[in-house]
Amino acid sequence: MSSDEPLILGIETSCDETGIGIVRGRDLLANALASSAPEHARFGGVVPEVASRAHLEAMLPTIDLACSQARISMSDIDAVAVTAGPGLVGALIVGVASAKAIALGLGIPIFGVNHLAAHVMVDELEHGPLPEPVVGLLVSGGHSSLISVSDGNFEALGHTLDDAAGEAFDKVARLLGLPFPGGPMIDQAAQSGDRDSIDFPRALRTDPVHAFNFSFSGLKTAVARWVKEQQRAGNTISVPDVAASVQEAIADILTSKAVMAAVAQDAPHLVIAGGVAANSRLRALAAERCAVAGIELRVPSAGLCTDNGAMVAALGSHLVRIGAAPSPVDFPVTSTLAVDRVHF
Amino acid sequence: MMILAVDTSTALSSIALVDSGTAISMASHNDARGHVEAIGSLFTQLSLDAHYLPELIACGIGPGPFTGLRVGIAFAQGLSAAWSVPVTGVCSLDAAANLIIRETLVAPGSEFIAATDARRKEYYWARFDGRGNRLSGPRVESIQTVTSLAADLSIPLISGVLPHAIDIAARAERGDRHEVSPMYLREADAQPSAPVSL
Ligand SMILES: [Zn+2]
Repeated sequence: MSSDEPLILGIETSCDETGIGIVRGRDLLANALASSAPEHARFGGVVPEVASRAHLEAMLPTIDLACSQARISMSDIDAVAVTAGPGLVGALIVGVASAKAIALGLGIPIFGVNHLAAHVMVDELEHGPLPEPVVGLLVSGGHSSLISVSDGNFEALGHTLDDAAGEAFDKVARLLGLPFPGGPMIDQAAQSGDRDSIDFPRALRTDPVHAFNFSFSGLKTAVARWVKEQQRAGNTISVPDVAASVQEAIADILTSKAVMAAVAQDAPHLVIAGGVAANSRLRALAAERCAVAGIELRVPSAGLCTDNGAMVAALGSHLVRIGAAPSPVDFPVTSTLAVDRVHF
Repeated sequence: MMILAVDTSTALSSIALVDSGTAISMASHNDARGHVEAIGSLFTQLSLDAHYLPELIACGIGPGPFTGLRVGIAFAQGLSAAWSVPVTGVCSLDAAANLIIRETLVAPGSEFIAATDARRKEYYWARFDGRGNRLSGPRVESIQTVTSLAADLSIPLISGVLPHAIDIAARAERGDRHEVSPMYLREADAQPSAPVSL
């Protein structure tokens, strides 16, 4: 670790995880997390007011935890980065107000940053400088996007037209009577299933207008219809087979479009991030297809894939490194911040 | 005692540096929605001596509209972490009572009810004696209920006052301190969010 590189504090509160990360240059020193996920489980989705209350309560203890993990004190910090969007407004506000106070109190720069760009940039902490051009596939309960990074510019190539990939997993899991969050449950059930047993639809596969967009709402309907037909015919339903086939449909469409995007962008590298990046079939299929296409696949480890503070610190560190101008003190939070706006 | 105080429990976001009851510097901004944008600029308007930190940070903990309220509390907590200075909570209606007495909006010595806008045709309210000691509340109830209560008790109802950070500092100086935890008074709306699909 080179001690002359700036020490960056990252704050993430866009959804239900209060994440505080500390990095020096590209070295990860701390990644502390408090989650309100269990409080939302019984509602089958994140309740914004519950998440906002939890962020305010968790903020100081999580900052303390991160500082002790990193063995630093607040006064050592050189710059603060905080998620300014996209995300839940009430949740984002808690992080941004806390971050502004820390930066102003310490007299150091602040960067209000883009959550999606941070998901891509976090890979630098594990796999070194991000080569450009690079394509990022972001898949979670909140987003499904394809992003390209070239000459330091982030550009949205495509996104989901309806449900996010993680939501599709949640909804299918509910149909199959599996608990929330659905992704890990489907992944587990799929282990003993046959992924080729049922041919679920791959929406927008060959639609040139939507080459890099996704649509997952039809998948849930198709699964519901299939289950009903089987029940009507008196057939027993194999949950592992349905899980494996649904997972195959999602992993297939995500990885084929991601590889296609990398080829189209002449990008020799693909980064996959977001909670769904933990899905075992997605990872295996992505590795297979990247190898065939001659693309290097980079997937951050699980703790850096889901929402966390280290990714925000990593993006802040990148912005400091390239000499980006800090954000003005009155920057807002923006629930629908587009990825080409990397910071305010 | 040097106190830095913050309040965002109403449309008025305010911040003040107060030394033993004397306001050294202060700033405020009236906007029901822009608390998180305004708070940083308000802080930069304070004349803070870089070599002399306040001994206490005090923040209004409501009751007040949740999203705005949390801005001030998060900001106060963040300053406390940055400076390693303790932070305390002050009931924002206690601060409103301080303002009501300070501005003689009621006859000196008179009991009164202080109320602030809780939206949904309701008030956040509390009842005070003539010296600003809270006798009951805070509670949230319909404007009609609070109005008839004041009439029944034959005491003035002072609504719509916007407590200022200098009043937060005054109540903290007086020792009216609470845990730094928002006085929500209402349960969280248990509606899962419409997903942000990007
Ligand atoms: Zn995310």
